[in-house]
Amino acid sequence: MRWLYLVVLFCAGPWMGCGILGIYRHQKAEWAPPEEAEKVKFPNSFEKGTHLSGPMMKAVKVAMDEFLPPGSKVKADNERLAECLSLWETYDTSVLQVDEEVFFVRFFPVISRCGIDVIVLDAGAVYAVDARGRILAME
Amino acid sequence: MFKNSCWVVLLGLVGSTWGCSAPNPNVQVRRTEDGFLQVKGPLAGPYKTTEELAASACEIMTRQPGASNGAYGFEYCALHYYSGTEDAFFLSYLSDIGGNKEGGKKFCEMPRSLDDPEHKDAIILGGAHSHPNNRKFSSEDTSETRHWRPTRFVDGQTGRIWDRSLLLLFRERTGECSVYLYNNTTRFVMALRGGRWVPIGKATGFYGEVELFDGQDWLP
Repeated sequence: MRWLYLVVLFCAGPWMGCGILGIYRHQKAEWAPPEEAEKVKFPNSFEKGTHLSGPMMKAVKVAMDEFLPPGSKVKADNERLAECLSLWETYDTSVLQVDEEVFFVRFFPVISRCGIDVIVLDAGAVYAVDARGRILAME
Repeated sequence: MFKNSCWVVLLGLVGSTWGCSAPNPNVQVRRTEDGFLQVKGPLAGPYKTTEELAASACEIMTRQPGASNGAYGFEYCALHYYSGTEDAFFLSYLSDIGGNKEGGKKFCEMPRSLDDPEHKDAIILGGAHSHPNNRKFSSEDTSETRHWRPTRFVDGQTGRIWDRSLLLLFRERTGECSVYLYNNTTRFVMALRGGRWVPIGKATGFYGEVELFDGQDWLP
């Protein structure tokens, strides 16, 4: 059992997750203090919102976890670019459902969002995901 | 006998490792003080037409190490440019600078300047890049966010109007080169067919969605 303690200690270290072993610690969301929460006004309607069906949401989750797994870092010669491409919020996501079974999920990096002036090609990806959550192909 | 085989295997492994780490003489790129990438030139040229330049660029770029290795192969970037004194087109040396993501997918940072002492009057007409596993432009390639600006300009020396464009080069499994051009001004997507540019589609919007013309496809 000693090896198990070692793995747990290794994974619990604040400097390193266990992404290399395919183990991720669930990062609980940060909550705002009550005084900020009190100021939030919830809408009466979501009519003007963006709607994702459950199967679409599942396909996006599967694709994003594969594209940029939690805790992973993109490697690039340009450090600022690497940081930019390592953030989920850099990517605009499009979902196209072609039939009951297949979803295409595209991640499109908006580099300018990071305030960097570079032309980067092919840093995004398109995944084909089926309704079972399997990745069929990627380009 | 077994010992000899082991030596052969070991030598082969050492040799291949050395081969992988030896610098590629066709890659000549550096990052300048302003943070942009600069490539040397010319690697190839002169060419009388953009069609000749693009066909040759495809032969050169898709034969670089890893350039045609499928989903996890390498991407190479370069610049294509024109010299008025020679009235000819050139391809710069290559850049392999970019990075890679989880799983090994590669991307490419486009060089933004040229160091060609032989052609001080060089006009950069855009970028060129190879895809290791996909003959289509990605939506990033045809996005207006990746346009080289100004996309259209007048050459002060000759008065000629130029449109900047991005070249895409892909080697089919059959060994043939597929060559495409995306005009940053008109947003037309062209394919090189029989030595001539043929419009096959047009890109629109922020995300560079490509709609192919009726009867056209990425392959003839």
